[in-house]
Amino acid sequence: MLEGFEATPNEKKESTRAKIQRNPITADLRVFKTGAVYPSADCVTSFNLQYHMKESEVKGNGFDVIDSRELQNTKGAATPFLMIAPVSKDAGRVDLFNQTMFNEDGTPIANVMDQGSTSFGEEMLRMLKEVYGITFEGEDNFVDLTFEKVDVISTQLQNATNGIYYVPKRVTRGPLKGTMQYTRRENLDIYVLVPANLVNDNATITKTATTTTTPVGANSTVNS
Amino acid sequence: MLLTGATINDKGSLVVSFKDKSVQAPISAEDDLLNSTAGVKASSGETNIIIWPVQVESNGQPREAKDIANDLRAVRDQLEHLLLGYVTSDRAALKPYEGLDTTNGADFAASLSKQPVIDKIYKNLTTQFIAKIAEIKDLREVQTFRLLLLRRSVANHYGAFRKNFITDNPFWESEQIPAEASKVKFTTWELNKKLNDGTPVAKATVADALPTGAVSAANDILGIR
Repeated sequence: MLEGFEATPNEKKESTRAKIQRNPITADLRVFKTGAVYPSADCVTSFNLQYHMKESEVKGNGFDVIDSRELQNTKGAATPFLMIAPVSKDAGRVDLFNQTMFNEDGTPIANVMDQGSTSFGEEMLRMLKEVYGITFEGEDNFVDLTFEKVDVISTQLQNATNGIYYVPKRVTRGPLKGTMQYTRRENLDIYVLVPANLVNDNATITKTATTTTTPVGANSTVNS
Repeated sequence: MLLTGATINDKGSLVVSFKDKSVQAPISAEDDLLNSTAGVKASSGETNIIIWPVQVESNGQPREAKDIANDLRAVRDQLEHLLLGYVTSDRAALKPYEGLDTTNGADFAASLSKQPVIDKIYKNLTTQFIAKIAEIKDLREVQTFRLLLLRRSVANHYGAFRKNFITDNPFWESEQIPAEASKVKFTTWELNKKLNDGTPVAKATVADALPTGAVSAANDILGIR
């Protein structure tokens, strides 16, 4: 050791950047401009989103996100809107919170609160832009989304489909990238997915002409 | 296509009937391929598809249990596949063993080589199917589907439903799914086997064209007897 030299512990520099809460408190989902999506604690509990042991019979749920313009029964709606529905994680082709790796002992590596699901991010951002006119500018932008139970939509859809839904899914890889495929689902519990807040000064929401009216049956709470 | 009905014919086979919603319109080459004319055309413009009862013997020889089970599974899967176009899976589920004693697994497995037991299972599946489609008559009159039929064999040009992997390769699909996203198409294997060709072939021609045993071998692939 050098004489006269006294080692001092490294002082961790405090970031000057305000830490952004990843999980929303009052809304249901928070979508960052990177495409990362985080659920609220209430949302995780209400819809059983948490990952379970690999061999567990209880798989938990993820979400399908549906663009009204692509679903046969809603494509004629004057104002487009997004829908979201919980589906079992093992249903196949689930959009959000459906995949994690597992440790050797079968415990899930990811916590759904921290995972920041991004696999659906590009498509989610495209939907938000096209349907609600949401764009992000600057840094650390995100938008909060809430689930609105609109009985007239969920009931009419259930009646019209007889419980059978052909949910549109955009192909994200391979030679068919960009085309739509349809996944059969049954008895979906459908919510309308609407922007709740935009929590960043640098971000802007540009409402397009098609979204200047409130989404069908929803109480839009978009702030700009 | 509309599913117009199903019945048991005088030979005890299930006959499922379909009708082209635009039967008056000329069939394009593409439609001809997808809605194969290889079915039995009735005079009304209906296409009748026969699902043959499963047999425990073939050419006088007992069949292997797994082959019998596969044929029964195929019948169940095909019928449930049709029903799933209209109703959810809980309502489409058929109960093949209704009325059979399944309490002793070993005894029941052994009984699956007996024709009366197989007949009972076939009857369960087909009568339940007929009852279920009767319940959804209103839906059947309005919901249209794409239907793909396969040639039964090299020698037999009559149409049949696909038997395997029908979840990923459906032969029956709601037209609520846009045509450009349709999964109703022939697989490479089917195209290679020319199972998309509904052209009748004269028996003499088949006999001349194929080596001895080829016809029965082709039939075996589809489990046709």
